[in-house]
Amino acid sequence: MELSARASYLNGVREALGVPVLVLVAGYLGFGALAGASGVSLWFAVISSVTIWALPGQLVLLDMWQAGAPLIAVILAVSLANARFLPMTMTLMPMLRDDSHPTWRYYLAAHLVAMVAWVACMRRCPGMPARERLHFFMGFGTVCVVSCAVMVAIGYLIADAIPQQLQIGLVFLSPLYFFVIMAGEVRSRLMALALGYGAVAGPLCQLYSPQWGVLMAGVGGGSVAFLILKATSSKHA
Amino acid sequence: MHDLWLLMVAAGVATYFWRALGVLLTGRVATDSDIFNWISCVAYAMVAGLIMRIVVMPGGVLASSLLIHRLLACGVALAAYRACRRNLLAGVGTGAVVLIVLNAMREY
Repeated sequence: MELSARASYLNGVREALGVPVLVLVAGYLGFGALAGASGVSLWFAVISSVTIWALPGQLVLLDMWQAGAPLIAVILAVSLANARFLPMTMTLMPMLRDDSHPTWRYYLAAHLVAMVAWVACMRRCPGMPARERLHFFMGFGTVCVVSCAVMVAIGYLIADAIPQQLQIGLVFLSPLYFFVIMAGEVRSRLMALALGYGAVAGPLCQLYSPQWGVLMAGVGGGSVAFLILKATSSKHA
Repeated sequence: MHDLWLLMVAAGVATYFWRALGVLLTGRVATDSDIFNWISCVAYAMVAGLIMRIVVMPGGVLASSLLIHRLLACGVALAAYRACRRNLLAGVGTGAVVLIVLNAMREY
């Protein structure tokens, strides 16, 4: 029997509460701490997490704002850091599609597209009736957003209250989070090349220009990786 | 320095842009073309670049820790992640504790 919209939504909520939320803890707790140490307000840290809802871009925003980078550089960098959402959304949407949904629901669901919810739905949805999937995804994504907003606030307040000796560890959580994901979950040659060249380009571009460094490292390192990928894959073909 | 809230709105729009475009283009364009590969490369490289820069040359409170300690913390975090059957929280938590302990030991 098919579940109602409400029951499907609650299924998503239940599924997210557990390992998926735990996966996000370190990243967002750390972002809160980093934001607290950077001098932005608690409200900014929490609200930006909900409205941007993309940790890589949020880290880029915080970092470049601190460096006093030009507005256009910040926006380009944040946007490109989050550009993975384009192919991710395009692969997820066919999974969620059903004639029972009005179009606006897809655009609402799109805001919740992020790594953890995407992975969970790509895995779970094929075993679910098409009608239930979008509701499931909405429930799952809402739990992720809300719990992360709470974690950001907690991280911010803790970082504010503890001595600098301990703060160092908390502020380092987000970089560690991405370091472990990137070093431990390389799944393709594209990822390996892009991460490798980006990792080298990041510090070098910072030396060249503290304000444009992040953007330069991404576009430069990424393009070099892309060209190498293309040159070497066409040789094998 | 710009108005932070203005930046947030702009960053939010710039991020949602990709999500909305994804809905719009679904089923109309293949996702394995060159442009998508380039976009993925740039996104991965940007995040990797930023993270390495924070590890190698951080600002703020992290700047008071030693580079070797931060690198050790990264290595231990990765090892703990693998040892704990890909448990991200365990890996990252261990790495953070290692940095705190190594950094505190400098003073003794």
